[in-house]
Amino acid sequence: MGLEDTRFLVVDDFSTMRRILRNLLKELGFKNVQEAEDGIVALAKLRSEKFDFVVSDWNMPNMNGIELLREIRADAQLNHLPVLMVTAEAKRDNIILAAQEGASGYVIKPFTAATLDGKLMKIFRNMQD
Amino acid sequence: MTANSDSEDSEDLEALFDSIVAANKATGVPAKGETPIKPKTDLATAAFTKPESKLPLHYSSLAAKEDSRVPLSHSQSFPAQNSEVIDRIGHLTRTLHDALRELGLNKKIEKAGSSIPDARDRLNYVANLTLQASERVLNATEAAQPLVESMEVEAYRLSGQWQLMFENQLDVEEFKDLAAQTRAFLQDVPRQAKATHAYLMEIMMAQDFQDLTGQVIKKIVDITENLEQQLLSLLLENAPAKVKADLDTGLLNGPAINSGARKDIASSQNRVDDLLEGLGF
Repeated sequence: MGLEDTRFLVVDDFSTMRRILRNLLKELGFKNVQEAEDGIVALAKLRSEKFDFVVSDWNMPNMNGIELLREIRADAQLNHLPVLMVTAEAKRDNIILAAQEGASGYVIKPFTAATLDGKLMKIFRNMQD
Repeated sequence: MTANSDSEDSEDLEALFDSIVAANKATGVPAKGETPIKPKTDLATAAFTKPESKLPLHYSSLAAKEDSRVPLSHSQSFPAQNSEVIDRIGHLTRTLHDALRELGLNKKIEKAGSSIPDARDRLNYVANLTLQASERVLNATEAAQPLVESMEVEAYRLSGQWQLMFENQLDVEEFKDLAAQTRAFLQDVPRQAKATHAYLMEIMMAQDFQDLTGQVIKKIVDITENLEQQLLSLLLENAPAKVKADLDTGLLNGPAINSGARKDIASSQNRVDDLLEGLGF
């Protein structure tokens, strides 16, 4: 399976942001993208369908990004999934927490296509190591 | 309220992230925080510094006005032998009551007052972000328009020439010329389309403000609701006893000034309207 076949799940409570991420991923060559509006919906999708990569917002109602990350890492079926956390601010504590909880990378809003590409490629490289 | 150095990505931050991830890998489990870490940072709250609240200056004059309405003596309503004691108890009660109310009032006014600059800062932030976004969109649109127009004009012109060619109105030299022009145009179209595509991406990326402003606006809605509740409580607490009693029994089925019940005071806008009307506003 080539990188371009990677199945993405984009999790964000704002539909605008989900569309932006979907379009950016498409721009970067990833056409297989699904969306979820919060952690609970995301988790249900992750457990019922096959995904290769999760891009999740941090602040969301019902189940936020860190809670989703914890659920993914605690699930034997899902814990291998790379999770890129999208955060609205580069607070040191946030970044430390994301790393400690097992995030594969983080990206700070607002970001460019090039930044997202850089973060994704780094995660793909780390996965091959 | 734009991004400050705290909210930008940096190599240091990335190195920190990587080092923790590497440590996790080494131990095999995500390391739990040894240092206390905030479990969840609320963007909208963290992005703004709440200004130091100051007690409103006008409160003391309000209290003084209340005092002036207190009757100095109740001796007429009580038997003569008890009048002095009753009078003193009355004054003590009034002083205590005023002092207690002053404590409650100050807190409420302080809360209501401090939420206004907070909301104002947040709205300014929203205004800035939306301004930046609309400028980005307009700039990109204006930059893309000439590209699209030139492609359209050139395509029309060449297509007209080809029409002449098919009508046998071009000589060999003119045909060669047309072929060369057409080739040049076709070579140029991908470049122009790519540039247009980049501007379309720019327009799309400019919409990322919606996520940030959406969170801030939600917060402001909370602030205004809270402000409304604070002001209503103030009005209720200072309403004439009779009005208050009517409101308590008629509208609220309980003491309206109970802070625990504050959420119920105005569960809907109609209820707020009723309350204000009951208070004579």
